[in-house]
Amino acid sequence: MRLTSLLPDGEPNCLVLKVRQMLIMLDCGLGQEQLYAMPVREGGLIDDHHLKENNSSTTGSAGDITTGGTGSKRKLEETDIRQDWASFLKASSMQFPSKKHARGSHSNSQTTQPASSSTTTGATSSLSGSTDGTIPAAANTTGIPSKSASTREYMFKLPDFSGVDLKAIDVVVVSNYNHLLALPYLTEYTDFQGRIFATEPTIEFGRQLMIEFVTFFGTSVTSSPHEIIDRKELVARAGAGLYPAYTHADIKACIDKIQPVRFREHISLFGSLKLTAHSAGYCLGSSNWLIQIGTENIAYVSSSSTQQNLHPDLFDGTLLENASTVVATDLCPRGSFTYDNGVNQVCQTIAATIARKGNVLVPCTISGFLFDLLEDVHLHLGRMGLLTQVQYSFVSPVADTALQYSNILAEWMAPRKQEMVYIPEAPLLHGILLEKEKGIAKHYKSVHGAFSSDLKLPCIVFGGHPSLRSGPMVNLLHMWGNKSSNTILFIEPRMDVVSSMEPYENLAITQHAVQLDIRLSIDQLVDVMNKYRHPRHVLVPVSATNSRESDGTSELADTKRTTSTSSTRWSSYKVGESVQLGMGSLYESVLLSEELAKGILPQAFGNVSFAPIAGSLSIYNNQMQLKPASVQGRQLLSLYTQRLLLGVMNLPNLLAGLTAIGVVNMEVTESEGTEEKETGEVPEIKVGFELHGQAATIILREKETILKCDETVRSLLREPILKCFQCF
Amino acid sequence: MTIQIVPLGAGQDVGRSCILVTIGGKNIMLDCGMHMGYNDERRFPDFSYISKTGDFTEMLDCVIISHFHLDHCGALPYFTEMCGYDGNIYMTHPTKAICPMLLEDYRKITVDKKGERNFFNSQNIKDCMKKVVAVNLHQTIMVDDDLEICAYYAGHVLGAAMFYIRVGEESLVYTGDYNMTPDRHLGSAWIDKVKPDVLITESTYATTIRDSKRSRERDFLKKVHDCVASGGNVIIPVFALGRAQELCILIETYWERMDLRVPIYFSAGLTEKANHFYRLFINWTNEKIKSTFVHRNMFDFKHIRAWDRAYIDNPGPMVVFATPGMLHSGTSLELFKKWAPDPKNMVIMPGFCVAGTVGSRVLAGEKMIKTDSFTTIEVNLQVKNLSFSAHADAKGIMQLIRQCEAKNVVLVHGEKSSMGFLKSRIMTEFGIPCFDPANGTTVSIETSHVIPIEMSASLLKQHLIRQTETQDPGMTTSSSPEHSSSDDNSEQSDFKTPVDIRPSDKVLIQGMLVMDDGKPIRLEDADDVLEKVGMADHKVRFEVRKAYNATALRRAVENAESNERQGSSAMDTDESQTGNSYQEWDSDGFALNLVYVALERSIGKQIKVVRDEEDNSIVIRSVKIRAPTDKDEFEKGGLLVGWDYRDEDLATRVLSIVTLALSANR
Repeated sequence: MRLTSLLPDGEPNCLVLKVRQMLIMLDCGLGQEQLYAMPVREGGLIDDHHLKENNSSTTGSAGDITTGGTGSKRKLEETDIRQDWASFLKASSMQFPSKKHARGSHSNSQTTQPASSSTTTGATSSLSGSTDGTIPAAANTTGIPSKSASTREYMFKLPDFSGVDLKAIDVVVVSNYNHLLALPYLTEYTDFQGRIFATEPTIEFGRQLMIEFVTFFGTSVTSSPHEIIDRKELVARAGAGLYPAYTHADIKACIDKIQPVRFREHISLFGSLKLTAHSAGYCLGSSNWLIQIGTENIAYVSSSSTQQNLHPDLFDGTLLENASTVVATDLCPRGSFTYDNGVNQVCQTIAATIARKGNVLVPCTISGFLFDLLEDVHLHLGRMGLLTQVQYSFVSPVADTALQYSNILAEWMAPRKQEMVYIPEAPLLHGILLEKEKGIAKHYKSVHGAFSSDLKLPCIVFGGHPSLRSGPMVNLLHMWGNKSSNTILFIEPRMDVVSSMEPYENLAITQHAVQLDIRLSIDQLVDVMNKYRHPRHVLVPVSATNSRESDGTSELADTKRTTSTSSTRWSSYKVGESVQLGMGSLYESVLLSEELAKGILPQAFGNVSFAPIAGSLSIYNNQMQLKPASVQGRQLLSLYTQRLLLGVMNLPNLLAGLTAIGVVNMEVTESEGTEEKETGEVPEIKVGFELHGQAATIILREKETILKCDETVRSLLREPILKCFQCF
Repeated sequence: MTIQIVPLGAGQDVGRSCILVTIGGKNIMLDCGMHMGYNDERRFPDFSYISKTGDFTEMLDCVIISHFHLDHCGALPYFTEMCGYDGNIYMTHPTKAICPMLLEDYRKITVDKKGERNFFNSQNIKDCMKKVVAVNLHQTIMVDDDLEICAYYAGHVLGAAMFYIRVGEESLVYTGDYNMTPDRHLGSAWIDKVKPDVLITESTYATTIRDSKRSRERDFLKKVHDCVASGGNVIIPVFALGRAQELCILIETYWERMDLRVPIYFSAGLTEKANHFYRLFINWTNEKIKSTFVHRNMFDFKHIRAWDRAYIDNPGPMVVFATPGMLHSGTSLELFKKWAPDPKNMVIMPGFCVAGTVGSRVLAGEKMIKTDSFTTIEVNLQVKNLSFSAHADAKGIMQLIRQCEAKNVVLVHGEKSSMGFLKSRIMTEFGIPCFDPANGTTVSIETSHVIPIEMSASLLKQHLIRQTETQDPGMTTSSSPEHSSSDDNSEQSDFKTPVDIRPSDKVLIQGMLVMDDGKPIRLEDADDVLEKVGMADHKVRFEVRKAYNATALRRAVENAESNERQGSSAMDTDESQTGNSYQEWDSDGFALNLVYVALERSIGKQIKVVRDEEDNSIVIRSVKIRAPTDKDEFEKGGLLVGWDYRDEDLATRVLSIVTLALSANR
């Protein structure tokens, strides 16, 4: 089997697994890193004029960048898109010099990548390779920048599809909503024809995330991405190019192509491939996949959590029991908070802010552990006696759907939560908070309209995009960012707080970063592997390892510094590199028909029994069945039959056997090997006799018995000889 | 192998569903319902059939409940708490949620109002539900190592499921009650093509083919509207959950559209709670409700208010949904008693009524109904029956059989007469056996037994290569054994071209089955296996003398040849020639050549036959046919055939060909 990762470590997952003839894509996430290099856009898709009014103070300087971006975008219509990436990156690094420092080597590798991997972009390579002074040059080459016509396009880097034959991909499995943002590109912009599987909640939350993504970062009305994106380019250069967001129509088309599954639902494809989703415990509907090909079992362990007392269904380790190979992805980085500590900090921070009549901004997606956190926060505020003053607001284009939908998913929740619906009560607390008569929590599509009229201070606002580049949080930061009594609280993992806050450096708002991460850490992963049967291979992202040995195995970065053992081999994968793994002997599932099974004669050797078998294997409807062969088939088979004898020749037995069939006057001569010229040093025993007037000789050697006789008596002599052995 | 099915209830009957199944050595109880037409011990299934000693936990591997109707789950608390069954119980999430409510509701009516004994109490219901494992649709549950169950959507009521049960290679589908047409709040039943050995299906509407849904709805609404317009009261007996919700949606939208002001009441106190269940289990309703629930929850009714007993004397028309649905007790019976004498009023029976209940007698058109020894109701009001009960009709049942490709069908949960009709239809249309066992009688169904094994992929590959190599490229299918045995050969060659394109679908396989305790049975290459276990094989070689009459042989051959060349005239010249050349004639070489030609012709296509001129021998694998080499052998004469025991079968074949080739009787 071969595993290739299409996105860098730390980004959402996108891997391609080739096992035997099957090509399986594991998740299809969209790189988020370049978001931080982009300018701020307020409140999603709104026009330029509006933006400038509200945003003059902080993004005044960012206007230049956007022009640069626009210029590139114009050019892309005539040439291609990749220019944007370079110019955006350049511009942003010039604009925010601290970024490079903050993001360290990662940012460097990002800048070099497009340049090195692109072949047709000499101009771009030289651009990104040269100094800061090239930005105006870039703008000049693309024509006269015009501010009034500027459309702020966000450009995204796709997984590196260049080395993959997308048309040949048989199946895509999606583990949870964090890892499917690039799916519409795959289904709507390439010639991908495979099937896609995800659990029902993953599809719904994924759809919501896509809608949020398009609302925040989508292209403006002037141009459709279908016109801009050259499909061939996308496939060939996906790793290098930058592409605008897809459209709402694409989302719908893409979502319709995903086939919903439930946990432990067996999906059988092409006869030899079986897929089963198992609960990962990370969020509603989050799944790990067991991929069975023939008798080979591969477990794809994506974002998983063994954290106690969360609302999603518990981590189901049974998929590891039969897995020989485990692909582990999306692990919790080292040095993260423990969840419980983190929650306490979040509660305290919120309570302290509310107590001083400040507002709290929590940029996050409305899903996942937020539902649990909300309960803890609500409980804490209750204990502190702050409940009466507080109002929760959820602001997102999908807030309404996300909150309501999550509460009808009791089947996907932990047993503790499932019990709630039998009362019946809404399993998640926000169901009760949102009830109209209570008015404790409210949801809004955006900060425009009812949000400001309903507003009761102090207020806790959830929503927006954690990158703070677009969405309602941008407006709210302008509104409340100047007061230090207000707090902005980062809780989402997988994001760069420093980069997020760069455009808002001068704001007085209190910042707290308590990134709650419930994903498995490498230590937990090792524990989980040890708890269930030890798989033969475990593949982990390179960031979870300390070093890589020459034989491809790795030392893990856990506290025990686990290395490969004879039973389990740990190795690592990273982007742009494919890992080859040998597989054990392969087996196919076959059904043995009753008729044929009746005829077999097993012989026992200790615990194991053997039985020779011959038949005709019919392959029909993707199922193989072994049946008795026809007359002609049997005749044909007999030509190939290889019989086997086991055991050692035993002279007394042979003699007894011969006597039994009426042989008399046997002449037994033993010869030392040296006497015989031909046979060299092999000692042999010769038994000579006559039967029915025909002379016959049996020669016994250590590993060989030879019968020399006339054809007519052979059938008689055969039995006594074979009786000394076990024959098949 | 045999699958045995015994209905303890619902055999040629509706109500008290309880079917025992033995499959692959596992005993499973499908549903555990009560009969609402009886008030004595016939109410519950006869559990003593399972075990005389009451050791039910030991006897049964699991109990599966298809949906929350009491004729499918009503006896469950009795079975677990009073009979002592303590094993696995499976049902879907909504069933687990709603079932205890209905049980409690029914218990109140039977015990608290009627004062009956030998009935479970509230605590029993709670304890019973704690033992239940809730399952999700399509989720495969391993009850133990061999027994696997999987639920499919059945549509009948919220959370209704069909269950696919598999042990080894034997499988069974139990439908419970199902509906093949979607209604206002539920989707239609659906199942994979699971090809079960047995399909146990309900057959409530075995003989009915209902008209379109829409016209039935229109009919229902018109009747209600007409009645209230003329000042009559409408009573619609329903069960609190299920059909009631669909009718509520229907009436609610109609009232809104027609702007009617006539009050609608829903009797049971359950309503609010029931609707809350529907809101939480939106996922189990149909697509339309699912997609709109965020904006408008269909189960928030504007026009429908809770019923209060005081309203019974209110003047003027009203529409009342009253529980229970079969008019056997509670509010619906009370209202019916009150309104029955007035012909302006109307009762609409939207569901099925079990024989013996007041409902069924109303439907039968009885004009004087005696409910108990003190009361007799005079029935003057209009009685309408609407087939709104969400069961599959005959068309739906046939559709399901086709969908899952069942090999046998067992009909339950229906009236005997209509079952017979459906049974004959199934047998003629699908050509599969169909049964309709009565309660307590056993149906045994033989299943073909196949054993799953694992075959080494390299072994398969090896054989596939051999198969393609040994056959002419154009002969791929025609020379495959099954084909040549069944088809006429001449026909084969005539229609060769289209056949050529198809890949071979039959491969001859030889190998060694390895049976190791606790591991799957594997089919491997024989040599590899023995090497792995470390068993050295002993070589046994046979060398036999094949005597033949050289002179007779030559003469025979020459005769045959000359016959071919010149006809039968040239006998004399042959005679003289042979006489001369016999001196230095190499008879063995001649014989070997003959043998070689014969071998090449017969088995040369499959196996390489080597003629070694130098060594004066023919070699086929380990089989070696040679001329005598030493003096001793010369004296005896004949050819020498040697082979390893490994190739015993090949040698036998070769020997027979040699015998034929060397025989003088050509």
